[in-house]
Amino acid sequence: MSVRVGLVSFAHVHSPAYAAVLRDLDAADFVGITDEDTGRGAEAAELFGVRFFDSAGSLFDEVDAVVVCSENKNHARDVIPALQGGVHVLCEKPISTTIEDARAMIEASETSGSQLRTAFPVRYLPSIVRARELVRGGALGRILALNGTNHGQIPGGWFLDPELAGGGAVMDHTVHLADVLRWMLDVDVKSVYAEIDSFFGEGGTDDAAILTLELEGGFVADGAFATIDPSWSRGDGYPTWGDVTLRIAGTSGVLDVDPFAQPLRTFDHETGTPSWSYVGEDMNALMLADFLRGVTEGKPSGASGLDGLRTLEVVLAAYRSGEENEPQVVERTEPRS
Amino acid sequence: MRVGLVGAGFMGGVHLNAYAAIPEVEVVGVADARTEAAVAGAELVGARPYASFEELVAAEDVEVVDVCLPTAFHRDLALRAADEGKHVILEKPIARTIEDAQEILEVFSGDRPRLFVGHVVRFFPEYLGIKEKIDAGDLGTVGVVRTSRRSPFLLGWNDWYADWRVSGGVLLDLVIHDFDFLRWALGEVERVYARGMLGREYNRLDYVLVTLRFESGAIAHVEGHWGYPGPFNYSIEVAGTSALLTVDSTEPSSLELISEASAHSEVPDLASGKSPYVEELRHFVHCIATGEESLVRPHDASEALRISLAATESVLTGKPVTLGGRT
Repeated sequence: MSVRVGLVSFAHVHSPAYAAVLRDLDAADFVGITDEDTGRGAEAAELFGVRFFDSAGSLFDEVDAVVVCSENKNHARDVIPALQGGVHVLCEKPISTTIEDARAMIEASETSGSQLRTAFPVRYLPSIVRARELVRGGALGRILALNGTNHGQIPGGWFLDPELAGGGAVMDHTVHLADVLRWMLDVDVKSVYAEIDSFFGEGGTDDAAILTLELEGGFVADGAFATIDPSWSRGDGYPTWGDVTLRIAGTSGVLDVDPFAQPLRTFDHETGTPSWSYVGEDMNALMLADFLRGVTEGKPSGASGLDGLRTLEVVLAAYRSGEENEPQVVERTEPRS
Repeated sequence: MRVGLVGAGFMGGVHLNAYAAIPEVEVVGVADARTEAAVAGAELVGARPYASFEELVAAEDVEVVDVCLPTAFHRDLALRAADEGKHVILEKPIARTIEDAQEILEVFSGDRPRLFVGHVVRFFPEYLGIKEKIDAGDLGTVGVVRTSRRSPFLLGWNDWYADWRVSGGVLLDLVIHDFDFLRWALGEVERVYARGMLGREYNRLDYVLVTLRFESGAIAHVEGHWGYPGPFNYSIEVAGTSALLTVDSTEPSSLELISEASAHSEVPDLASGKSPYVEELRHFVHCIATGEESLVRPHDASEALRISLAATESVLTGKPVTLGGRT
C-alpha cells in the first residue's frame, strides 16, 4: 500500500531531491505540490509529473502525508494546518526559528493525532548508523569527546535573510550534528559556547562558527563535550557541496566518521575544476522511506518534533553565546500540552 | 659550532640526529642523568657522555647548550646555562609557567647569550607554505582555521609526560605547536575557550578541543590528542574568503614506508629532503653565527605558552579566557 503524499513549497534547496525520491519510491503515491510561489510550484509539478495545487488546503484534502520545505520561518504556518487536517508531516530542518513555533507544531501533532517528524537525514547514513552501534557497543570504551563538522557553501536567496531563515550557518547546519549527537549517544546538551562571525558571504549573515557543547547523560563519560563547525566555508572552488564529519574519542579507541568520503573524483579538462560526486547511499531516500513506513504502520519513525525542538534550543543558545561570549545553558522547554 | 645537549630522551634523540646532518655543528657532549641514555645519545654523534650539565660545561668548551629536559626543568637549566654565558636552544614549550618564561626572557634579554625555542612547526615546508600564502593574500581574509594533532602517548623519563605538573599535558606539550603557528600566521589571540580531560582521572590520555578568537576576527578550532591509538598525524585547514587550503599528513606523501614499525611512528617522516628539525637547528646556529634575528623570537615562545595556559585555565574553569596584558 502506498501513502498519498504531497510536497509543500519548493523554497528549500532540498525540495527537488525529496521530490525525485517521492516520485521514485514504491511506498509513495506522489500526488502533488503546492507553493505560494505559484510559478515555482507549477514548474516543479510539471518537472516531476504531478499536479499543482494552488492552495495548501486543497493538497491536504487529497493526501495522507506531506513534506514541508518552506522557508524556516514559515514552517509553523504550513505544518500546523496540515496536522490539524489529519495529514502527517515531515518538516524540513530546522523545525522552526522560534521555540514558540516548535511548541505550537508539536502541540498540533498531539491534539490532532497526526505525526510530526523532523527531517534529519544524516541519521540514515550507513556509516553514522554503524558508528552508533559501535559506540553503544563499547568499541571505543567510554566516550570522552566528539569533534564534528557540517561545512557547506554559501547558499542563496532566503537562506541569507535572517528574518526568513532565523539565522545563517549556525541555524542551517548545527542541527544536523546536534541531532546526530543526541541520537547516537542519548545525550542532552547542557550548555553551549560559540564563536560566530561572518566572512564568506555578503550582507553579514553568520557563516563562520565553532560551537562547543557540554553533554550529559547517555552513552558518554562524565564531562563529555563536543564541538560543531557549521561554517559555510566552502567556496565555488571546492570539489563538492561540503561535508559531514565526526571524530569520536573514547578511552580505548577513536572513530573517524566521514560518511560522504565515497566520491568519484572527476578532473574535467574543459572546466579545469576537479569535482567529487558521491556514490554512497541516498540518505534522503532512506529517510523518506522510513517516514512513509511510520505513516503506514501508524508508528512514528525517525526524528520527532521534539527532537527538532531540542536541536533548535542548542542553536538559540549558541546565538546567545555568540553575543555574550559566555557559555549559555540550554533551556529545555516542554511542549505545552 | 660546538654544542652540548642536555636531556637525551625522545626529543634529545631527534635533535642529535638532526645535528648529525649539520656539518657546521659539532656536538661534543651529551648529558643525561641516566648513563645509558647519555652514552647512547653521545654515540649517535660521536660525542662524550656526561652525567650532568655541570660536568658537561666543566669538561667541554661549548658555545651552545641544547636543552631537551622535561618542561618543568627548562627554567633552571636555561638560567644556569645563561650564567655560564652559553647560548641556549630550548625545546618547546619555553617553560611550565608564565613566571618561569618571564624569568628566562629577562635573562636572555640582552644581545648575548641568545635563546631559541624549538617551535619546529614553523620549519615544516607545508606550514611555511600556508604562512606564505596567507601573507601574500592568496587566501583572502582568513575566516575559520581547523587544526588537528594526534599523537601516541610518549613514555618519557619517569613517565613525566603523564605528570601534568611537569608537562602541562597536551595543551602545553602538543597543541602549543598549533597555537604558535596560528599566532604567527594570524596575529594575536583575543579569546580562548577550551574543553579537555584536565581534572579527570585518565591515565596517559589527554584530549582537547580549543576555540581561539583572534584580534583579526578569525576563528580557529584546535584538536589535540595524546594517547591516540594510531600513528602520529596532523592536519590543518584554512578557510579564507578567496580560497580554502588543506594539509593532511595522512594523505599519501612523496615517500611512504608501509611496515610494522611505521604503524607506531611518533614523529612525521617527511620526504621533502628537508627535515624540519634540521632546518630549525641549522637556522638557530646560523642566527648565533650571524647575529640575525630568529624566525622564533623568545617572545613568541612565551606568547605561545600564554595561549596554552589560557586554554588550560579555560578547561579548569569552563569559561572563556581573554588574553590581555601582552608584554
